[in-house]
Amino acid sequence: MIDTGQILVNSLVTSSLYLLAGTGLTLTYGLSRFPNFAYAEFITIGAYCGLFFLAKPGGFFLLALVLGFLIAALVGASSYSLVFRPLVERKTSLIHLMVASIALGYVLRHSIGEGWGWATKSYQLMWPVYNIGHVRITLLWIILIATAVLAAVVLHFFLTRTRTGKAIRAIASNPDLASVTGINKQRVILLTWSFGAGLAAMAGVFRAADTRLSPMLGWDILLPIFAITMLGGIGSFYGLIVAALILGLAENFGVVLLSGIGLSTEYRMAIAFLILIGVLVIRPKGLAR
Amino acid sequence: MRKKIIAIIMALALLAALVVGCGGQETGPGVAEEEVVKFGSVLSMSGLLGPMGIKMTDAVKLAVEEINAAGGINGKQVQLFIEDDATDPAQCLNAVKKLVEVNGVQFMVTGMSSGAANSVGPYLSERQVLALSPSATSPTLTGESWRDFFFRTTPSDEYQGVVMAQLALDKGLERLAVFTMDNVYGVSLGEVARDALVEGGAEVVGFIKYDPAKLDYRSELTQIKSLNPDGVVHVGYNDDGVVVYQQALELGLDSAQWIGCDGVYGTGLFKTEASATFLANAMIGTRPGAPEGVSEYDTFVAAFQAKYGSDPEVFCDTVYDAVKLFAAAANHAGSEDPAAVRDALREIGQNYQGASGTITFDEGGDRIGGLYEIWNVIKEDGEFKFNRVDMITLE
Repeated sequence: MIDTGQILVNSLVTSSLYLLAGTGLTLTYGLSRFPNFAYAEFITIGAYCGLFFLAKPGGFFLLALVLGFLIAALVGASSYSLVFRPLVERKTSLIHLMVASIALGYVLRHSIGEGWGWATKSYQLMWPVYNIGHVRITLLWIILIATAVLAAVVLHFFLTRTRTGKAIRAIASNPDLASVTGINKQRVILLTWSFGAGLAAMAGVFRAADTRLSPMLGWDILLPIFAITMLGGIGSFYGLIVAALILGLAENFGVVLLSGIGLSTEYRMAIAFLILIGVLVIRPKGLAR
Repeated sequence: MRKKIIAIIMALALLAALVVGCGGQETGPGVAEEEVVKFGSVLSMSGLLGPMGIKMTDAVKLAVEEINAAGGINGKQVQLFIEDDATDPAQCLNAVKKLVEVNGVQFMVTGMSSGAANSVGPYLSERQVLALSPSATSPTLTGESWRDFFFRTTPSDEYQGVVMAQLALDKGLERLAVFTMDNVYGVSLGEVARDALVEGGAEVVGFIKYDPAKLDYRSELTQIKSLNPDGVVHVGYNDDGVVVYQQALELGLDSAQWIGCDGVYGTGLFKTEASATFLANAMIGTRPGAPEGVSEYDTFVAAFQAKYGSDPEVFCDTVYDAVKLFAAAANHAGSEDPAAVRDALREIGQNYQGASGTITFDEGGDRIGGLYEIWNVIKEDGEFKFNRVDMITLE
């Protein structure tokens, strides 16, 4: 027996969280060309910023999203200027940048743990539930799905249709040539990092509203987010949407399969990653290319 | 100049790392080394079991304080070493090793979860360090070769699973799903309950194991809903429980009767209104309980409230008893040799009157029999609280 409608909705919720966090990652990854593992902490910071408005009942969810976005944007921009920019300017290798990002992640994560405590916390929110036929959906899930799709589509048009968007793509494909054409490289990079971290923070607020807060919040979901970014093809938003859908569907229908044969649903990630590996074998550069 | 600054920063970082590395808290009087008895506490103060472990550690501190006020052990004061295992069996072993190798601790309460107990047991036995677990309940720990230095002040879930099943049968439930976290504690308790349910004539329509760290349980819960059970037996902890109940409420699963256990007892579950509402709507559970009208329990609760201003929660009494039992055994043995204290513990641990009731160890270091509380959640004056429904004694 399987309730396909509900499982589809569940998959969409799982996918949308990955998608929202993935948009920010693919944006910065596409530009700076190294995996920033401290991205997990941008997610966590957003979630904790939300506490300012949502620790007590009756808070405004939208304000939490905005504050999370702004603070994380600041953290993202400072992370780039203080940690990564000096390294990039000395032409350090990918490995060095990666290790630096892991270190930065540790510093941020443990600072969050010291500041807010390691015990879990929760937003005080109750979401209305709607019945569509026998399928149940909450207002939070609807907002999450809409926000994630909107973010990906808007960013796609931003990158292809606007001046700044084109500047980002120019820097991504050839930084030196871009500078020569009069693009203010540093400003564009800072803007991108702020925006990417802001999107991560919004995903964090959603994750916290759906589950609870802990300093490990971002780290716990970083792997699938990196996975969809790779699968979608770094820098591609339509690819990202498809990749997030694949992972979400694989995980949730994986649960049906696993619980049917009596295995632990912990393997849902394994199923999702098997599919991921399969796709990458056929299309090594991701779905978009 | 620049190199100098870098060198200074590196030196500072190294220093900071050293300070962090020695981050274990040490409390107690700063008396000379040979005059104290070192006692360790390695429980989960963060991670999934964090909310529970913080309160239990408070109970340990209270017990040590009382022992010291009463003259200590063999005339020596007890020095307490507290470590956090972050609800991670591997981290638990690291913390235990640190206490034993670096601090020279030979007695401790540890193995808060059954997984952690499994991880530290062989090491403790090999190093002849006497340990008591207040809360590792898995039946699979019984008869392990390393149990010679490892006691449990809580009964094995061999008993609790049966109580859970009986509760379901008494409620007239016929179709049940078992939903349990995938770890030693969850699976073994779930299996005991399942077997007892089948034996009692009920139908078990599903047995779903989940990852307590995933926190996205919508599809598991949807599957349970499609199986259309009239009851759900759930084994989890406070941390994942909040999310499970939130999502179960969203999916309308509060129409079934849920049967919970000790892991999902605790005010950590009232962190969100959704979780608390779900519990009030649908949950009835079991947990090792203290007998009513037992003066040791009342004294303990009063002392805990006086010191911390809040009520003790699940396993606070068993961890308090573990520390007190150790002190009584060491005093009885008149020595601090772990093997001698162990032998004395077997002697003292016969009809010992503790806060958690009468404690009697069998030869394997397990607590015999069990006293279980049946609880539910009620809403009174807008406040959610746990409510005792009944007490059940198993021999």
